[in-house]
Amino acid sequence: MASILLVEDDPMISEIYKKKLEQSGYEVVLSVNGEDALGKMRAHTYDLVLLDLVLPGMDGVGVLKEVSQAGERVLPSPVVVFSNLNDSENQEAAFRFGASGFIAKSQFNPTELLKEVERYIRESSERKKNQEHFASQEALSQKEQMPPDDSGSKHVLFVEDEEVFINLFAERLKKEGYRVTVAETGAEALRVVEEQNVDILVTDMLLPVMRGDELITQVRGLEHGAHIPIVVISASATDEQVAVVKNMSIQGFFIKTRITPSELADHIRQALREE
Amino acid sequence: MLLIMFCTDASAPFLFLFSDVAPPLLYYSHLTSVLSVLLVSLFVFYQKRSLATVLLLVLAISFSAWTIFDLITWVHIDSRIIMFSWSFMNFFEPLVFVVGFYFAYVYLKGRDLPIWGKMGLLSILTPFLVLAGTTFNLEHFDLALCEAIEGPLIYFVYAVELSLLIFIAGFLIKTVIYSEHKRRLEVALFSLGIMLFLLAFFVANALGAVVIQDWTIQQYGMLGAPIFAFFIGFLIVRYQAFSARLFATQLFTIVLSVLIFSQIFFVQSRTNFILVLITFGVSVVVGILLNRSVSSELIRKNELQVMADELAIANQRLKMLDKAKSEFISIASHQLRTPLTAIKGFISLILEGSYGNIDGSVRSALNKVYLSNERLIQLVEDLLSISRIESGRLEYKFRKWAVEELVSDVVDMFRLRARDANLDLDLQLPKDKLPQVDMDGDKIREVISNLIDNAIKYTKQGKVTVSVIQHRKSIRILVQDSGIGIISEDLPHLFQKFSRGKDTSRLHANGTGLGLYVGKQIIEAHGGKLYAFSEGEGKGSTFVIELTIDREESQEDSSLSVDMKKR
Repeated sequence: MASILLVEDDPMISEIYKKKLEQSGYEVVLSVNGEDALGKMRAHTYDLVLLDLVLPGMDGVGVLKEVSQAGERVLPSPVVVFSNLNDSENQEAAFRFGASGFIAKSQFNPTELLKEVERYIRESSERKKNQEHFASQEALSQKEQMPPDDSGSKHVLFVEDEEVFINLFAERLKKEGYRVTVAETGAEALRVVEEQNVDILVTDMLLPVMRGDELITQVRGLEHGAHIPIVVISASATDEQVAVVKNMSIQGFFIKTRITPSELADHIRQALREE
Repeated sequence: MLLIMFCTDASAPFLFLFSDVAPPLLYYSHLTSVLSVLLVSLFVFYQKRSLATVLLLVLAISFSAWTIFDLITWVHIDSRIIMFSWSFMNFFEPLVFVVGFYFAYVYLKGRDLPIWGKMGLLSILTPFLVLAGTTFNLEHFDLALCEAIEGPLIYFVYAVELSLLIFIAGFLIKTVIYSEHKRRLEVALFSLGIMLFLLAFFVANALGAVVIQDWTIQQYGMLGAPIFAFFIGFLIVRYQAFSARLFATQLFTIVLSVLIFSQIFFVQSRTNFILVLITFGVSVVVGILLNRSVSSELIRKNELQVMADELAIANQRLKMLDKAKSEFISIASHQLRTPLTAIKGFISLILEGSYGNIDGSVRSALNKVYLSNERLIQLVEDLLSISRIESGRLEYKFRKWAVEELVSDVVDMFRLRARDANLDLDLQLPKDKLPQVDMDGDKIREVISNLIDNAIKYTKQGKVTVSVIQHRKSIRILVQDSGIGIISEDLPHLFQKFSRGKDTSRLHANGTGLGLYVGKQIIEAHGGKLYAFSEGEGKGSTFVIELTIDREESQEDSSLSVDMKKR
């Protein structure tokens, strides 16, 4: 369960957000001023710190300055600042002193805020992974840098005809350590399913020759295709096609404009785990 | 030597044409026929110069020539004049039939005869032309009867006329049967008109000459001409230019007056004479008045027709534009999603450090790009929703919802904003539990959300009150604010797409982004009502959503255009 430190002096606002975040399963710790927040951050690492800029005593920027100068005396936690839109000076300062992101209070209602919080939490966890990855790569010499060993990992069949999405999503999945095969048509994908062992199928809807839903029907018709988890990512399906597909047994349906590559990787991990 | 060349049974005609030895009806039948046929064909020719109208004129002239010559043979006593005229008659008579066929062909088919057709007609005519002046045509003159004795050519004439008549009849019947449905009446009427004319002409002549040997029968045949003129006139009025109608009216009134006046020739007494004059006077006056009224009516009718046509065209274009716009929005939305996804994806990867560590200021800038992009994505979503709603493709999922919970959820969403704007946000629910309502909860939630958003937006200070009440068979959700209010001019336009009120088609940043227009569509799809009232500027406003507890299917055609039926 992820932990969040909420630094907000207005009791009504903090109550609303705390309730909302707890409803989503986060552990929420409250802090009402800068000093208190610093103290807590020295003691714990949080998955996210939501820091209001306007605080009694030491304000949000002040807290950040302290954190950035304190070095190891303060434990690393990603900090996202609250601000109002007409507060751009402080925003710039906040980022300069290490804030990971900002949320404009008046723009988001509690539900949207939740999405942003999740985004930042995911972003910082990915960032950590990437930092570790780069660190370990640097440690190896040029010769020793090999492409990741994917022989033991799951086989993902990614069906998509547009190059930009292949670059975006398929590459990210490769980075996750999966063995990724890209098929640009439904027919090609079907062949791969028939000839090779596929652990999960990720497909677009609008494909040349054979549409996504046709592909799914065909795959489900195969003997070993009946149990392969299928995730659909689509940009341009009509309502009717969406309804049809949702009635088939698939493990996830996402709209491309609503999902980032890392979120997709997350969902795939979940789908594979649930197998 | 004095050749006796003059008939002795009468005196020379007055003014070459007028004599009292002529049988009654002679002038009547001959002159009115000539007049009517010539007038109509001249008028038609004047209106529109084409092959058909030229042929009609030629037909009229042929017929008139024949008629005048016939008149001459009736009234003259100089045998040379009689012979001369008579010989020409036997040329003009078949000419009438030949031209009649040619005219019918061109009028009905809309094109000229092929060359072999013209050759054929010419070859039929040639013998008559050649032999007209010979004794083959007229053998000699019988002074006692004061008539020419006709030679064998006359049988040839009748044979040709009969065969032509049968041929024409066949051609006309065939054309009527094979014509398009909408033209059928016109074609049938034309065929009837010309057949009657030719038939009357032929039968009267043939009967008069061959069978009964009484030329007076012939005069009745003349009357086929005014009948024909009437048909042509009717056809002009019905199927051709409107302005012809005016002239047809004029023609009718003139002909009528002329006919009345011509009765003068038959007056028996002075009383009769005076009566005829009076009738004539009346007919002239009535004629003038009638023409005036027809003229103004026609002008008005023309204007109306022009407007109706323009309206129909505009309507057509409107429908096309509407459809094109919906399609464009749909396609554009789908196309836009690709680059939007790419931006979203790559920026998120960069922010996550997939491409290395980034500076704080870079992070800040990229974050802004990411959020702007999210706004764009939402905008595309909104456009797509609107296009779906307008083309009726928005799907509704109906089930029973507890209204109190739904409303309370939405209100919670706005507590923070209200707080920020220093407004009180109140929720009033009834004490007793309300019955559940059959509706698409997500969409209704959007509508309520939009109303509360507006209320907060347009209220500087005071409060926003959301209440739910039951009113007989329906549930009402009211959103009341103490804000700027709505002026009465804006009220009827509030829920329209491009209203002049303060809230135009502004799109929300969240959800499906509904304006009041879309809100209304959604509520109406539920069979409910969305309306507002306000006491005026600065006096706040109240928006009401009314939903029936048990939704009835009410399909309303909200298409933009109106189907116009042509007259």
